[in-house]
Amino acid sequence: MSTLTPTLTLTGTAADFGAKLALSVTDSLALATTSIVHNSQEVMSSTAHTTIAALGDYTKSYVFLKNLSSTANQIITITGRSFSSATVDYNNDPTTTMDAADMLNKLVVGMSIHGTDIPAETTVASITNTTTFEASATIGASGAQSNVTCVFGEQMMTLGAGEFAFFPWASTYDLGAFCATGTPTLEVRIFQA
Amino acid sequence: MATVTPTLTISSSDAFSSNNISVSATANLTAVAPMQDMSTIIAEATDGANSIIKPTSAAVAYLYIRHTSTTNGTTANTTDSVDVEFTTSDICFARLGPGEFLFMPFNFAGVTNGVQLETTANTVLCEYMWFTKG
Repeated sequence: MSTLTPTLTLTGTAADFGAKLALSVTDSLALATTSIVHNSQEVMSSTAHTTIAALGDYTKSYVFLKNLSSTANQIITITGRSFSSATVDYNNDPTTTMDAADMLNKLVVGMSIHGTDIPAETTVASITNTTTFEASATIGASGAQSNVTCVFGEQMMTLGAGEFAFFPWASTYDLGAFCATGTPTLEVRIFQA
Repeated sequence: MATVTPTLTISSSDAFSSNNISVSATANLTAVAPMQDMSTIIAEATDGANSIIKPTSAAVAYLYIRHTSTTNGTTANTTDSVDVEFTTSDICFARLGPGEFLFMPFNFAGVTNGVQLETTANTVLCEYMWFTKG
């Protein structure tokens, strides 16, 4: 067994708090003897959703993510849960249909949508009934398409240029990512507990 | 408007036999109201009962949460974990064990999603703080 030591400090001028911000926390995390330690850099896409850690590949893990871009509009969104459906129909309109079995207990408002002919940053704006939802933008601009395979992601965090995150991932759902524009690189470090 | 500078270091001298792990990251963040100063909540094993951030009109909030290792701030220690969940789906996206913490720029997903806590059993005292991204 080995040990991982994360330390976080938060400092700054938090005028709204009426006091200067000064926080420091540290922890001593036990890694398993056969711990998987993953270190990679993933190039993001604005049109596709990339799985950066699949739930079946890890048990509970400590995850560090950093947007390595220095370009302000190259924002990376991380999804904490995603699923795909090959039953999605659309026709140059925000109104979209899919099989009820794919939608039930899976689709929620705010999820990102990824697939052919779907603009970047499109999300689920509202759910009409068990087979129909409204997207936040017109999708399928090239005409009627049926049984398209789409990925839906529940947005967890948004990493601006140079921003980072550290969290203990439960590994109950896949971690995924996509970007708003460009091809920023995401640093991914995973330490299995 | 406030300035927040998070710095994270991650180190290990024994995860690998060949080399040490040493990761360091820092960022200069601009934060605006609304903000939540350091606060505590006794999380329970009840679905949806322990909301710490409700959806706001902002896109992102920098979020810090820590499991204090105690049930209620007294000397009663606990080994129960705390699930950090989306309010829209009750889906757990992070699981805090005793003493563990997280820091992330949480995405409100267009004024729809927030954050709630739920323990795996019993109660756990957690501390948290958040700042709206400027």
